[in-house]
Amino acid sequence: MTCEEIRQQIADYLTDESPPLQQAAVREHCRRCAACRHELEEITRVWQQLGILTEEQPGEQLRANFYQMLASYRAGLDDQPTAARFRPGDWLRRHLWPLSPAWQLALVVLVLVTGWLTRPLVLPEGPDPRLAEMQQQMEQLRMTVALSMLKQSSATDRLQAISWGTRLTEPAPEVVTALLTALDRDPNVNVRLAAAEALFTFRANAAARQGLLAALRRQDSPLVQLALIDTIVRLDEPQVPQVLREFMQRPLLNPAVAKEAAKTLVQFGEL
Amino acid sequence: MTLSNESVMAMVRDGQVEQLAILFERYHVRVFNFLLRMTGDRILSEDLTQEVFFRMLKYRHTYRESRTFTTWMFQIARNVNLDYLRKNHPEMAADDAPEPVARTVDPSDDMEKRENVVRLRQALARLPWKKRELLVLSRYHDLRYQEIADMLDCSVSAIKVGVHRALEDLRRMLWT
Ligand SMILES: [Zn+2]
Repeated sequence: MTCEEIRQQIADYLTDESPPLQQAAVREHCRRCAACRHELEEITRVWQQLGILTEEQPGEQLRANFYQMLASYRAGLDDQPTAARFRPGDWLRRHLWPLSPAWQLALVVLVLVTGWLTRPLVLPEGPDPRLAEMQQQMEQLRMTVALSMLKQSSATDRLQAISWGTRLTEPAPEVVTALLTALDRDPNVNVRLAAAEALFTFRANAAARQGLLAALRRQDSPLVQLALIDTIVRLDEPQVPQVLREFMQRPLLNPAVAKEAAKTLVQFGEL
Repeated sequence: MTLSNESVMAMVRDGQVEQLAILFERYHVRVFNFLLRMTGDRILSEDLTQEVFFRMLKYRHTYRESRTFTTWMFQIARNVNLDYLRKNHPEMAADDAPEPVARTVDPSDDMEKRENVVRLRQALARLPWKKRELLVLSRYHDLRYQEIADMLDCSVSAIKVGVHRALEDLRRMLWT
């Protein structure tokens, strides 16, 4: 290969896109040719240097703005007249929640838009009650999408849904149920761990608290068992020692987990 | 089974627009970082990211499943960036115009690393935007040269030559 050809292949060399034979040829040429070797080293150095610019996270507002934009776009679509004959029966069946979160979204948006259109022209002094209502509806929207995402088959999406659900100020019963189901049955350990953590943030909710206590019995992963022991201790519930004693009766308990459970019971003065 | 980006986007195109939330959750950080590396401005990049996802809705009818979603997405992102430049800084949208120094603050604690980051950002910002775009797309976004060539509508060899030249420019700025 000539020097000119080598220079043309440096870009390939950086991203490992070239076949191994071609890479070997580049290396072989550079062993003998100082100019190309220098060029390859320098360019590789810049390429690697670019790696220090790591990924940054956008502000939370971006997500809120996106969902608001999505909701208003959806509202705009629903306002468009359709040529097809409108049959309420079909329409309801097709859009009935939870089969399609679209209906929930559309409803929220419809309420929002109607509320805005029928607002009185002279606003009263003091905090606007409609602002609170709008925030409540945004929360509803957020919950609907989080629930729909929890049904996604990719673990990353489900993790995202959980982290998002955690930001709800007050979880609706179906959110707690969905989190408990995830904690019990999700095939991915990280999703189960995230669900336990989310339920703990909702510990003011009785269902979340009781669900966490009951979950230890059904959990098979030692990692999640350990996390659950740590979590339920922080719940400050009188049943905790009882739950732990029952748990320790389980056959084939992982030794590390058994040790942790015993240690915790000692802290309660139970062993 | 995990829904592929392409099938989710096809659902969005066919009317289930709320499914765009899935693609937003999967990709908004990447789009944001692409724009941040292009503009060096966090607030502006957040606004432009929002615009990218809005255009996905607006132009959803033009999406074809034969097209990789991420390629389509980056194409929209670069158009958003370019439209912004043309409208607000027409002098920079020209092919070889220099750009001002970037204005981001790096959260890193390590002093020396932070200096390197700042130096690198400034050097990147001084590259003409077309060269910067080639580097950002090929270095940070796992896009193959072929994909970038499709996106930019030019030949693969032109992309490779472009990447090489952009790296040489950057080297001169960093080390001479
Ligand atoms: Zn040579």
